Amino acid sequence: MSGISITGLRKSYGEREVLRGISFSVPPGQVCGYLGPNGAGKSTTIKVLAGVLRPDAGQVSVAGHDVQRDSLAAKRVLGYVPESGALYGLLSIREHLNLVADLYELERGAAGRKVAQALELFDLGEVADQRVDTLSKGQRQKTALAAGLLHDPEVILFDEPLGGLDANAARQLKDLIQGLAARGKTILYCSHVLDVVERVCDRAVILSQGEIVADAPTAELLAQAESLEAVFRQLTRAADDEVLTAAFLDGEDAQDAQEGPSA
Amino acid sequence: MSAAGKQPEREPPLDRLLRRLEVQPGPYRALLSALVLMDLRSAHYARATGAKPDEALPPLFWVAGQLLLVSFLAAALLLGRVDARAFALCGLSIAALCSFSAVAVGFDEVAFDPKDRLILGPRPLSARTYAAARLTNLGAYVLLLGASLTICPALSGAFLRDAGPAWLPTYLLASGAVCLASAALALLALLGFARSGRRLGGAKAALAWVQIALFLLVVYGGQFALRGGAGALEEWAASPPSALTYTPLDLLARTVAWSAWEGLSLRALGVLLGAWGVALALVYVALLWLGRAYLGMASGPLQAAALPRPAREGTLTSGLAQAALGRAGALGLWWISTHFRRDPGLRLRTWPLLSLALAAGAVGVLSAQASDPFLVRDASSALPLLALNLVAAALPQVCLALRSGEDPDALWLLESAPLDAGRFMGGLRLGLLAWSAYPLLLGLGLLYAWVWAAPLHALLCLIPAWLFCELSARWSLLTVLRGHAFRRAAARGEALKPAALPTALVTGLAGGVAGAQFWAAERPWAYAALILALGVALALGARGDRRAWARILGGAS
Repeated sequence: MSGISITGLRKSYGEREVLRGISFSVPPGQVCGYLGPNGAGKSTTIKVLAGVLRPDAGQVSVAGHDVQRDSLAAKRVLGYVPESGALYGLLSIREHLNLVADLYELERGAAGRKVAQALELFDLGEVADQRVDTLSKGQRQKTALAAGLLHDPEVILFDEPLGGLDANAARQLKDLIQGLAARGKTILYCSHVLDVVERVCDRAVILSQGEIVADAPTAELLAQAESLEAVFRQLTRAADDEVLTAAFLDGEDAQDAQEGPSA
Repeated sequence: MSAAGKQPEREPPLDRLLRRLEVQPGPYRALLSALVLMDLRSAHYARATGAKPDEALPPLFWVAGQLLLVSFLAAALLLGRVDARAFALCGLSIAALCSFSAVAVGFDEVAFDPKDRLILGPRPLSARTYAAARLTNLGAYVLLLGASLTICPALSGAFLRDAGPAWLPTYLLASGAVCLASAALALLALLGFARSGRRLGGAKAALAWVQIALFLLVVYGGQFALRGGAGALEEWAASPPSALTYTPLDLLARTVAWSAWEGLSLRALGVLLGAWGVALALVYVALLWLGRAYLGMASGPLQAAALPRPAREGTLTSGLAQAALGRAGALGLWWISTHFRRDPGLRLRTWPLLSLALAAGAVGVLSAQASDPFLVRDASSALPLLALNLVAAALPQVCLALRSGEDPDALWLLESAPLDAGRFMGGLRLGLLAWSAYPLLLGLGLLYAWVWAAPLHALLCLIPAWLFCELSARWSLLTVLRGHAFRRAAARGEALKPAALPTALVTGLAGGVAGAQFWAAERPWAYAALILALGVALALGARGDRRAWARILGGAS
């Protein structure tokens, strides 16, 4: 099976183990939601898949190419939209997209057409020759989306792609993701916006403290609780946050609040 | 025409060469074009020089201009005083040191930008291709730096008594090889540091200080050598230490000098070609290491090193600071002290500004012009007083440097807080002086106490200088800083403009105070009156200070 395959993936930063031997795969045509609380290891997994981070152990392949041993081949078929919208601020949008097209060695004529289509799709035509560092957060994110999809990748990694997008653009992105999946693309969608995951993803993998705590079709997870948010809270909540919130608001010591009034 | 009849398209020779080096020609050209485009829009100029593209002085002036000035001053100092070998040796040594430190300190980000990890990391770009594009980009800067360091000694050396027409080409070849090899070595050293996982900040700061010290040594040391007239320089050049004979730089200097006198021989050509061979080999190794470093970027972030924790709460110092300055004042003191302690860039921007006072003190002591003004009544006793008061003259420039910082975006924390602006700035002023002017004042005071063997006289000289320093600090903060510190991104290019007039005024006043001290030194009542006048001025200034800061920053006064 091509698509995404992860087996026994481990990654540590210093002494902190972020990923503890996780394994899962995503077949072509599926949109897989990848969820977890802050610091759970979601972005680390995505960066390992994108070849930006090297794992400590485990095997990771993209469209049948091992990301470590055959990294150039893997990167040619991979599209990555990073969370931060990392771009060179001093290049214009058009220059940025042309750079990406050249890095993927796209044929000149086809690249020009693709850049024009991407500018139109993401409504960036009017600002195409503006420097990236002068753009709004949403326009930067749209540029990152365009750069990630320009070379028609087989596998696409979205890391919090909705950041800064307005309602129309967010809606358009959801349609785009579904359209990509319908065309057989493999999509790993990493997000905190659970209602979007509910609507867009066929399946959800939930990560907590570096381990997978749930991996099931979205419909199946929704059958267990009223919403994906409820499932998420049930599986990942580390502390009694309602008590902590009340203690913070009332200016009390959290431990006292948890213990309740003394007899 | 049938497909079979088509001739296969011949690949351009450059592409063939790139492929032999395992570089992807298309992505190489694309990345290099993007890098050059960004350079022209000042990305790396700004990061490397801390300047902005629209400033009056071109950003690269701060690097290329300084190197040109150092090499020019060194050549002017040595010309006519030393022979061709010593002239070439000094020129090549300065070229080696400056190329090394300039690449290590200012231009390492041209070769290796951690931001590339996210932008280029997911792209199908081989490590060798990335390294080749980055190195080519850096090569343009090395060419500029090398030219700045080479042109003055190459041209002026041709007028040496023992130099002939072959001086110019041989010196150009030698200096070119030295600059290239030094730049490659600097890059290898940085990559070696990065591979070992150590923090670069300390090493880079040390190199930056070497560069500054070299500049000061050439400027002030040159003046000293010219004024001293003892012929020490000529003596050193006539019989240099024998250990130098074994260094590659001396081998090159002797080759240049010998060729300049005898003409270019096969042996000399062999030495020069050998130097270029070594330089190119180092560049090739740098290409390999840079490629490995690009792959190594995927190892992930290193753990943040533990930072020294400045005392603020629960210690005697912080308790005393709170008692003396109030909570806002103690916060201001902690805030500026923490920045000075943790930001090597701030120290680099501020401390060298005190060099004039330091040089006046050092030159005075070394040239026997540092007499006790209470005992000796001639010009030799005026220089110590001037040196002490010149410390205050640096403060307008220091306050200007304080406008810029690493994290201007974080300023909202101060802007949105209900801060007692006057007290906060009072603490900040104390911290600023404690990290800049006070150590130098104290150092000079101790130096004079030792030289004069009269600690009381040194203390008496120090008191008016200290009061003047306090006055200068208050006034400079109000007129030059005039707002929150660190409110703009670090910028060196803006250096003089807003502080030029205050600096001129304070420098003039420093001369005036030093003159008044000199005059009053033999009149105890006048000396007491001078101290009293400065004290009254300070007290009056302090009254208006808090209100002024409340107006400037808003908030309670």
